[in-house]
Amino acid sequence: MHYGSLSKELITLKNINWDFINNGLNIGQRAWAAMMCVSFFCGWSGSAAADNAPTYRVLHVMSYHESWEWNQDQFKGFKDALSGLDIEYRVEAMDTKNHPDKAWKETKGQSIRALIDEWQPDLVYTNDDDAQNYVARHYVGSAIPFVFSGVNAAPAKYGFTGSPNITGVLEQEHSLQTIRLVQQIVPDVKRIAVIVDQGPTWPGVIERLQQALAADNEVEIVAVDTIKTFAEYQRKILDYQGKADALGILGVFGFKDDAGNNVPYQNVLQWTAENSMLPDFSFWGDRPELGTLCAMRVSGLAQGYGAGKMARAILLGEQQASDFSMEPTLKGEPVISLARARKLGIQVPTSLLLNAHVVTSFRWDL
Amino acid sequence: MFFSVRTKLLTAVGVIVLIALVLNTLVNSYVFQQQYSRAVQAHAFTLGRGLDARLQYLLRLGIPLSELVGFDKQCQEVVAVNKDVAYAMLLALDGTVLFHSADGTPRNQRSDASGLLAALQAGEETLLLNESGSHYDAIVPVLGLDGMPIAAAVVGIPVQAISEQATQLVAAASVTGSLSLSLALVVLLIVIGRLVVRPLGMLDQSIQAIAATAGSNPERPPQVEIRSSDEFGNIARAFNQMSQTLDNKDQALRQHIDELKQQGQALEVAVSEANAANLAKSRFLANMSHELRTPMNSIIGMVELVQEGTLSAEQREMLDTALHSGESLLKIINDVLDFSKIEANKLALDEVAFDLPHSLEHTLTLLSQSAHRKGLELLCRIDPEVPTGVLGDPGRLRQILTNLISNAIKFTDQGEVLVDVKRLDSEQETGQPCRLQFTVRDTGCGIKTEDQLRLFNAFSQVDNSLTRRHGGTGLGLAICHQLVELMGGDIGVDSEPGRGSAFWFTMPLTVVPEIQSFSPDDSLQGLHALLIAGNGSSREILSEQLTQWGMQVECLFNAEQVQALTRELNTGKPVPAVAIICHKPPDIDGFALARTLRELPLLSSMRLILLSSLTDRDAVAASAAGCDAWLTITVPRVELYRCLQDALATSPPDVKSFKHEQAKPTVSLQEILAAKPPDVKVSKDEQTKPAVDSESVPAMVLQGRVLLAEDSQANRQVMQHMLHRLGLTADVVVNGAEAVTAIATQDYDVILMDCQMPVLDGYTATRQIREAERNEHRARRPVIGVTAYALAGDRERCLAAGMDDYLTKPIRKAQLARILARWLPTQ
Repeated sequence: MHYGSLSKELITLKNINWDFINNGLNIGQRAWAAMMCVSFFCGWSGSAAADNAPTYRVLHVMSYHESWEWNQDQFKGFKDALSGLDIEYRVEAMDTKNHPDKAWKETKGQSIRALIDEWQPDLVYTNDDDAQNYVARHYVGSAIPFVFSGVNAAPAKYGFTGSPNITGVLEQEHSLQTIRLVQQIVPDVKRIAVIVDQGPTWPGVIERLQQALAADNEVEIVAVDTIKTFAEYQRKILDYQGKADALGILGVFGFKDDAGNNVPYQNVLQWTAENSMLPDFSFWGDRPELGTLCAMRVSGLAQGYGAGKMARAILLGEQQASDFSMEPTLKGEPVISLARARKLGIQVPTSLLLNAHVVTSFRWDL
Repeated sequence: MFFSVRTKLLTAVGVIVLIALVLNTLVNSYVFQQQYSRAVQAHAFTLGRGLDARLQYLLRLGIPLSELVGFDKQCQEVVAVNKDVAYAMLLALDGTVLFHSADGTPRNQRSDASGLLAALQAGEETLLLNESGSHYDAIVPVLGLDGMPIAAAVVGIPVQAISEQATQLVAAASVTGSLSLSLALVVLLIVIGRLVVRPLGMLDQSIQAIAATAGSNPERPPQVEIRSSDEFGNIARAFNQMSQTLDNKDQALRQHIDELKQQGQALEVAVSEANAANLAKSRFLANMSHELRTPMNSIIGMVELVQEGTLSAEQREMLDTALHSGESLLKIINDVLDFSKIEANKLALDEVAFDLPHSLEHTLTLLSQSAHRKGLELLCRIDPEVPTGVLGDPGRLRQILTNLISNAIKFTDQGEVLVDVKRLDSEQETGQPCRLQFTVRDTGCGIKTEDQLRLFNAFSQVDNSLTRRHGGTGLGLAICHQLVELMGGDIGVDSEPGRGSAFWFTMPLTVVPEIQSFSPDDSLQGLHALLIAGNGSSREILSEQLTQWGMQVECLFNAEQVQALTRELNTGKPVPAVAIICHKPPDIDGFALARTLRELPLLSSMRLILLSSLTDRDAVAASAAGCDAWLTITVPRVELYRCLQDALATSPPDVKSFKHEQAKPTVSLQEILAAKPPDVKVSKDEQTKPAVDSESVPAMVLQGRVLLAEDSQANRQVMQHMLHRLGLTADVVVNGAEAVTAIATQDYDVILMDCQMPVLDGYTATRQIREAERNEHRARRPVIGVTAYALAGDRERCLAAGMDDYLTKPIRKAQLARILARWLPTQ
């Protein structure tokens, strides 16, 4: 029994209504409890056996910085999946959020590759696209197994398709689930307008959104606007008031101000929250903190946990990297801004609040 | 009804299992219901707390209770997920429904249930049974951020759900129990069949087979084959051990039976030898009797003959002693002979009609002399209910009475001997037996209780010292006992040392009406009799007797009373017709009293009768005293009656002489003994009349020619002398052959034929005589058999041989005279 099943059973045990035990169990309950006890000790003995396993060296290469929540969630999920194994972790952050220039990325990539060659880890876990582009891509077909997560681009872009030693979990936005979340908050939403900047990521995102809604007769994408400046963005937002039922504010990183400077997306979103009365949505979890009403974010934990399960099987020799298909995670995490809802005058159903990550304040109010 | 072991075990186990299942089901059902109820209630609180937790989360998000939207869904989820929950809701503290799991439940509906409102406002977890009693409400308070209760989560549990669970449990347990019971019985059936029934059946078959063949092979005891080491094996081993033990015992038993058979055979031989010895004893006794009687016959006969001659006083006294000793010896011989006859079952009882009172009184008369010699009064009281004529054996009855009375006299030194006869049953029809009781009561020394038990045993006497003093064989009471039993009666004794004894016996005797020897008329009716008797018994008996005859009896006890009477007579009291004086000194001197009374002129008309022991001296004294008559005190009734009649009807001188002669005792003791032949049967001519004459010596002279065939010279001499005294002469032969020859040549009137003689015995000789008479057509001559055996069958044997009569040795003169008088004419 591996760790994953043991964890589930521990959770199941925790959910037992111990009152039954206190008040006496019938024969069926006692038998079930006995079986669970047997399973527990089997699991414990399995983990004890793992203590004798050899120490593994795992190098984690993240595209961004270590304090980035997204990265933290992924790494936490990864380690959860590998818990019980004696692993020596080593983390290398490329910090491309703060250093988006190519030269940094190249330099950082070289140093990390040098480390890999020197340290010879048993497995390398890479996050997000920069780490694939500047590190993993160079090891396609090598002896070192690579497992990735949070990759937006198609695996073929990095030559991963058919690679014997590289596999992982793709990061693809939960488009349709997000639309459904908006509808649960505001049931009358039928028409949506989508706004993106000129970044290269958005066409693919929009395409996948359109594909997701293609078969849906309830929701219609009434406009997709690719905007360059903040002023244009502001006009569009105001213009959509009354013309659309909701706004999909996806790409907000490349708006220029009148001076040609890039307007921080935090500012863009704050302005939106303060000036738009339309419910809006996005696909990333940090957006509600910045004023967006809701998002069905890709779960960093789920991404990391999926990659960790693959890494565990590879490290234990149970499976090879090529045995896993590279698929995105299927279920997102709802995030709702209760502050924005109040501002919009929306009473969010308690069932949504109880199952979502609820943001009660705007970041700028903290 | 037969049930196999398998059926019994299955039934027992089935019932036990069924009871266990039912009890287990019921107990489990109860326990489960309790636990399930508690668990469900706890679960309800848990669910309520879950709702509270969600609300707390929402409150912490800053959403006031009033702004919550869609919390009904959480309530619905509670109901949907938990089947035991009927509803879940959120109530405001005033009972208003805020959220409810049921669609369409009106919001803001208020509950006025006091219990519910109190629970809501208390802010504590509470379990309530709702108003309809259909649900338990688990109420969990919801606290606001300030810690004060703002609402309550309520989870409703249907009561029915709990009972349904219990019902389902019972149903499931019943089904499971039934299946388990069936399975258990099937398993038990198989197990019992293999482990119990089959070995038991094999054991049973083995034992049956052994039982069927038991004893067929004595060499090898039956054994059961041992196939297992369990209890059945133990049983088989135990059976084999038991079989071996039984076999050993059987063999021992067989051996014991063989020994018993041998002992039985030995016993049979011993019994046979004993019978032979007994027969030899009887024959010996008979022979001894013959041998003893023959010389006794000579001795007594000769003594009697000598006594008739002129003798000096000394010679007469010596002869009296010799005769008395001879008579005693003869009585002993008779007792032994009687006893041996009874023991040999050869005693035959006669059944003739006789006068019972007369026979009794005569027996007493015979014994009165011996009583009087000891100064005793011998009295007889016969109850009026006692019949006169009865059918029985008077000789044996007399023998019993004589024995008892003799014993009473023998063991009584002073006082009286009273014979009391009464009837036990009520009077019955003629021809039917009546039961009489004869009691001989004395005033003797009495008998201890422990001695009474062996009184009637043969050769047993109460006191050896007494026996030595009084003599006797010890056979008398044993003979009485056996005779009474032979007659169908009982015998016993009531006695107390120092206060006398009462020997009694009962006897059934058939009443014969035609014998009425004494029928008193009314000649004495109304006459005044004066009875003067010191002895109470005598006075009572005589008074009773006189009263029965119609006389007016006045009893006086002593001389003083007589004097008083005479004084009364002088004053004019009527003079009694007769005075009966019982002479019994020193109480009453009858002679002096009689003399005194006779000298009184006033009483010259009164007849005087004296009763005493009546020796010759008494008779002289009575006569001198002026008595009109004197009688023995043991006088028979008829004698007394006739005496009274005569005394009252005639003048005093005539009466005196007449009565004296009549009252004189004419029978000596010798004659008493001689008059009691054991088997003398009263002839038909005598059966209808009292056998009075059989006891007296007839002073007769016979005529005729007698042939005496006797081999014993002594007996020949005795009988010749007796015949001579009877006026007869006899030709004498010494054996049967000579007798046959003599008869062929001479004509005899009677032949006395001894049965046991050499050359030719009396039986054969008689047969030859009869045959010759038939052949020569001569008149039949009477042949009287004479034998000393005196055993049952002797008489028949004599008659069968052709004899006409029968005499038993020793021959007494009177007996001989009586027999000869039947066949010879008298002068």
